[in-house]
Amino acid sequence: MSPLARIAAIARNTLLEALRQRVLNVILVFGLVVLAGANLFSEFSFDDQFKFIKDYCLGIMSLIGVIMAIVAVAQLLPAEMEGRTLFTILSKPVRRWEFLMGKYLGVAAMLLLTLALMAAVSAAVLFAQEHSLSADAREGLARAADPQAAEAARASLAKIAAAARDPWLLAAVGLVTVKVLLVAAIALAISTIATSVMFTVVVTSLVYIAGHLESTARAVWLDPTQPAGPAAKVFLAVVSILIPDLGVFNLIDEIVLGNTVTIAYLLKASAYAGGCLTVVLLVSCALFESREL
Amino acid sequence: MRTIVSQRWRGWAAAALLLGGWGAIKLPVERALGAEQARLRYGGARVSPEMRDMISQGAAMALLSGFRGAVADYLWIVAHTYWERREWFRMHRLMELVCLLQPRSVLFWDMSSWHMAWNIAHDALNDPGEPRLSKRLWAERKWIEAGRRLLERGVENIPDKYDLWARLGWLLDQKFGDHAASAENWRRAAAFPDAPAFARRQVGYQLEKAGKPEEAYRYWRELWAAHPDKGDTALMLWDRIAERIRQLEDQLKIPAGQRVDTSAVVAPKP
Repeated sequence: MSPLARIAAIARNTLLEALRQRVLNVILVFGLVVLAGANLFSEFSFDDQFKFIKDYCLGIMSLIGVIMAIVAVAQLLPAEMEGRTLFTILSKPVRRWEFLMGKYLGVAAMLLLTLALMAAVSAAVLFAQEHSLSADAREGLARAADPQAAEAARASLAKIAAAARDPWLLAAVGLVTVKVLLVAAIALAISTIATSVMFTVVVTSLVYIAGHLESTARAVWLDPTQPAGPAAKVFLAVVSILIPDLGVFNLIDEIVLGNTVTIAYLLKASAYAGGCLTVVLLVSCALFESREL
Repeated sequence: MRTIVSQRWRGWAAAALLLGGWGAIKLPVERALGAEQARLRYGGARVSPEMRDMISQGAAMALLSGFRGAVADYLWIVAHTYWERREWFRMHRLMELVCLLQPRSVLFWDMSSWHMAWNIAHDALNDPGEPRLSKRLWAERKWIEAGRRLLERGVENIPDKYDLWARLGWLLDQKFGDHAASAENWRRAAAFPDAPAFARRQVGYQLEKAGKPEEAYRYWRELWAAHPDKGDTALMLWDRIAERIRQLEDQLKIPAGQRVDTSAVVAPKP
C-alpha cells in the first residue's frame, strides 16, 4: 500500500467519523437554520437587503466554518488516544505524518462539504429574494405610465439580477473556504502539542483573533516611531512572525460592496494562504513526529 | 531515553526553523499585500479605542474577528431603531461609525446623509417642542450641514462611482441653492459611463439656475454634438434638451446661422 493510499484510507475514515459526530451536525443544522432566516431583512431597500443578506450569509459561513474546523480538529488526536486506536494504527506500517495528513484531509473534506451546503442554502436565499423583488419590479414595469418610469423599472430589474447573481460571490466563498482550511491546519498544529481538547479550542480561537490583528502588531513592531517598549516589541515580533495575517482575506467585504477586486490580488492572497497552509502542516508533522505517545 | 529526548528536540527544532524561515518570507509578502490593500482602498478605518467604546463588547469582538461587514450591518439596524425613536444624536453618531467601518459602501454614506439633510432636518424645522422659529431654522441648517459633510467625506472615499457625486449635486441644488457647485458635482457624476441619463441633463439645468447661460449653452451644444444619432430618446429626453437650446439661443441672441439644428427631434411617445 502506497503512502497516498494510506492517507486516503485514513482521510475517508475521518470524514465518515466527522459526519457521524452529533456536535458537528448540531452546529451545521444551526448554521443552515440561521442562513435560511436571512430573508428577515425585508423592511429595507433592495440595495440594503442584498448587502445584508450577503454579509450575513458569508459571516455565518465563516463563523460556523471556523467553529466546526476548531471543534472537529481539536477532537481528532485526543479521541484517537483515548480509544487507543492511534496506537493500533501506528503499530501498522503507517508513518505519523501520513496519519496526521489523513486526519487533516478527512476534516478538510468534511469542511468543504459543510461550506458547499451552506453556500447552496445562501444561494437559495439570494434566489428567493431576487424572485420576490423582481416580481415587484415587473409589476412596476407593467404599470409604468411613461418611458422614464418604465426605464427605471427595467433598471431596477437589472440591478436586482446583478446584485443577486454576482459571480464574485464565488470568490468570496472561496476566500472563506481558504480561511477555514487554514484555521483547521492551525488547530491541528496546536493539537499536536495539546494535552486537552479545551486547550486546542481556546488557543486556536485566540490565534484566530490575533490573526486579524497581526497587521497592526506588525505595523507597531516595524515602525520605529511607535511608542512601544523592548518587551512589547519582542512580543509583537513573535506574533508577527508566527501568526498568519488573516486580514489578507478581508476583501470579502469589498466583494459584497460591489467594489473592484483585482484578480492579481486574489491570486496573491490565495498563494499566501497556500504558503501558510503548507508551512503549518509541515510544522504539525514535525511536532507530531517528536511527540511522546 | 536519550534517543527519545533528542528526537523530541529535533521535532521542535524543525518546527522552529520552519516557522522562523516562513516568518522571514511572509513578512515582506504581508507588507506588500497590506500596501496593495491600502492602494485599492480595501477595508475601513482601524479599530480605535473610541470605536470600541461606542459599540457593545460582542460587536467589538466580532469586529476584531474579521466580521466588519456584519458588524456594520448590525449597527445600521440599531441606528434605524434610533430613527424610529427619534433619537437623532445617537443615530447620527452610529451612522458616522458605520460609515467609518465600511467607508467604501455607497449605501451607508448615501442613506446617512439623506437622513441628516432631509428627514432629521425636516423634523427639526417642525419640532413642536421648540416654539422659536429661529432656533428651529438653526437646527434644520445644522442637520443639513451634517448631511453635506457626510457626503463630502463619502466622495473622498468613493470617488470612483457616480452615486455620491450625484447625491452631492442634488443636495447642493435642493438644500443650499448652490447651483454652480451642484453643476460641478453633477458633471463629475455624468462622466461615469454607467451614470443615469438625467445626470447629464442636470449639469445643464444647474448651470442655467446658477445664472451662467453662456456656459449652459456651451454645455448643451457639446452634449448635442456628442450624440449625433440621438439614441436612447426615452432616457435622454432630447426634445427637452432641444427646447433648452432654443430658449438659450433666443436669450443669448445667437445668430440664425450659428444655431443648432434641433428640428429633427420630437418628443418620445408615452
